[in-house]
Amino acid sequence: MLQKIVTVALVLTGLVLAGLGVASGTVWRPSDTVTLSSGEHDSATLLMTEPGVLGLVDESVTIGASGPEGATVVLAIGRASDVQGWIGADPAVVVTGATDWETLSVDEPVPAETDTAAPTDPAPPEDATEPAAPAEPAAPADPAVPADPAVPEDAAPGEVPVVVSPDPAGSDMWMVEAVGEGSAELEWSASSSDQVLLAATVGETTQAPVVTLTWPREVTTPWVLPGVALGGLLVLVGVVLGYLWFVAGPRRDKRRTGAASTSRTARAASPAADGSPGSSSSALHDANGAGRDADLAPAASASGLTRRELREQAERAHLQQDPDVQQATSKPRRSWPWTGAIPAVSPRGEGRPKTAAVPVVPTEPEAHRPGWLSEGTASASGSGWRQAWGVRPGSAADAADPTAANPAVAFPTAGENPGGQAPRVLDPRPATQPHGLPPARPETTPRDPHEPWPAPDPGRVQGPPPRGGGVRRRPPVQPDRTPAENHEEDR
Amino acid sequence: MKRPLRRAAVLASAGALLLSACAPELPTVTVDAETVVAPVVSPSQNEEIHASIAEVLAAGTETLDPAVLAPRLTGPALALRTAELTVAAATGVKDAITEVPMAVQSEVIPATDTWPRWTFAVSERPQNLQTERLLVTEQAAPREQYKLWGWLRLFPGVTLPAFPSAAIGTEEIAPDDASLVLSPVDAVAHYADVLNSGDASAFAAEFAADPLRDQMNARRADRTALAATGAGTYTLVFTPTEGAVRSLRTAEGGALVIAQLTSSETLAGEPGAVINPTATESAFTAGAAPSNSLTVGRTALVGIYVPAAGSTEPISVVGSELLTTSASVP
Repeated sequence: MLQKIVTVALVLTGLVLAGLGVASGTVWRPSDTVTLSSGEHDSATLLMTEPGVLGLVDESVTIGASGPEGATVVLAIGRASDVQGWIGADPAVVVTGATDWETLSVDEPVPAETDTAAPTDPAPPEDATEPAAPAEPAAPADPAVPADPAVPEDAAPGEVPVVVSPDPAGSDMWMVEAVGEGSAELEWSASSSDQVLLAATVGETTQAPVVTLTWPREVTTPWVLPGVALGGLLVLVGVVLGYLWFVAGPRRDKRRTGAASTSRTARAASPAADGSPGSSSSALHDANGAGRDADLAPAASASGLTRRELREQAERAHLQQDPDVQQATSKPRRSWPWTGAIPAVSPRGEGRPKTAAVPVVPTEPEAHRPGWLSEGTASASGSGWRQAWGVRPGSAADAADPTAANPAVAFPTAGENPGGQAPRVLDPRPATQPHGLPPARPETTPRDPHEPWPAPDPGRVQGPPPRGGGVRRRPPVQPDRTPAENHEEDR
Repeated sequence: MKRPLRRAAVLASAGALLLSACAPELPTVTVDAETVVAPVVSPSQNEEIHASIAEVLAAGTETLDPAVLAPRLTGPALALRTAELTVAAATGVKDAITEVPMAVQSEVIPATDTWPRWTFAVSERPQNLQTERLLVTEQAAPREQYKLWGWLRLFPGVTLPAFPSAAIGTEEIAPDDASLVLSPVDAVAHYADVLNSGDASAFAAEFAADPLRDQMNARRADRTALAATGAGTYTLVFTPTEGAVRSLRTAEGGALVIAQLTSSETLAGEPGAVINPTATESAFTAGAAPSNSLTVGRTALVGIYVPAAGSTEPISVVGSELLTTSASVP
């Protein structure tokens, strides 16, 4: 379950990462241009940028401006000192920088000078040419007074005085300028921060133009490659893990369990050879010998048993009644001296069985028949085979002696079995043939005709089998058997 | 329940990180470190200014209407040109109108942030093969245009001092600048005195001989002699015009001073004598009957090179213009 979660999470995370990476370069890719706007301002008709604003993002800037209806929009680029000098004391909106990626930061002028000075003397009685002289208090008090003809044209009588906003167009100081009705556009390369923008709405308006500055932007997509690469890697890892775990993994497990059952079968076929358990885990199962089997059997019978279980239960019962098997299986492991067995075996005898293990496994009467020989041919072919392998069936002093069933066992236990003549036998292999296991045969031989259990497990000859191997398999305590096996056995 | 929540949180934070990574840092305004004041106009701007002035001059010559000059002429230049157009209109001869080429071969541009601003330029040689004109344009205020303030004819063979390049700009010099051998105002005053008094002037030694000075001396001698024959009087007085001094720093720390002078020439004969004004002068007398006295007002522009203080170079006059701008019969 955890493997599934990990695999799926890896793949999903990888896909999401790759997707985010791609999206960062496509959907979320920032625009190739940056456009900042000054917004609308009513405090002045003039707008200027501070030095450096035009080059905020890039040198190449496109300046757009739009004014109210009917007003002329003037854009001009000039030296900062020229622009400031041109603006002079007039109020002007000053663009100081950017507040975010869409808005220019703006300093509003202090609304004191012109907004108050201009209306106060809309119709100076005599000094029409000097509007800056508010000496006549009557003028603001009575703006509707019939103006004398000397009043300049911008102070029409009876109307709210209209101040025509200053027009910067055409000044010699501007490097570039653009004039348009309602809007204007200008392209400029802001190579020097000293060059600033002056924008103005000219006409009967009090509104500064809405200025937009647009720059090309070098858009980098730094997350595409890492995102896709990392995402792809994660997906790959996830897929590989998933393959290993869910596709290749079970097969390997099956193989492993198959091998285990094979060895178990082999051991079951020659329970006498497995007189004592080995060091493997399956051996531990057998370590307790038949005692546990006895415990387990009733428990299993209590519930609904399959035919196979019933059969095996019967086998166990039968085995427990068999004195030979009883002896072999009930022998405590510790009584089996591991180290003592080796020196007791002659060097020559030790070397040979390793290669001659094949003939060893087959059980009892046809002990000389190799596993690959079919039944019934044992007596006929056995002689030739024995001769070839130097097996002398008759040399076993007492083939019927159960204690000689396993010479490896017999040597150390020579003391308790004075009749053991194994030491005298140069080649103990014949003695390894378990003779007292008739019940085991009917099961093993037909079931696994091709089982490689005669196979070269020298340990079975020389000593305790490496896998231990109980006398009998006990299905209830072998959880890793595959259903196929069970089915096979049930047949 | 916990696991999906945590995963969602991780995804959300990762997405937020990605999104925040997509938004680059807001740029800040960077200002060039240079604090050097740039020239007031670029050469190309100056060219356009001169072209505009040339248009106005051409329009004035075309229409002989002094009113068309106002947008681009000011100061002495406006006075001179107005007089010329008046004379031309009166005489019907446009050839007397001074040719002022506005195509320049070199220019001197100040670097300043204040007003007024003025530039010098040396024009191409006129088509009548007179000497080059030294042009002075001025922007009096930020919302004013550059206007032709004056021009003067360079004396033949004169060598102008060197100026910093137009890309760097030079310095405007106040009329009372003390870094020179003479302040511009003093230099103009001294020269006016030399013009008035000739070699008798106390400052005569300060200035080398120049065509204008020689011409004035000769004229004074001639007219004085003429007046003497009729028991009349002759006076010729040059007066520096206050505030009409434009100076720019040369490369070696000196100054080229362009100043306006007004001259008043009065020839008075014995009673009963009749002094007929010239055609030019009669353009200003508005048809008044000649009498025994004639006063002619002229506007002069002089260019004076004033070396830096401590320099051993002599003060020199590089050019002048002198035109009749008024005449009156008492």
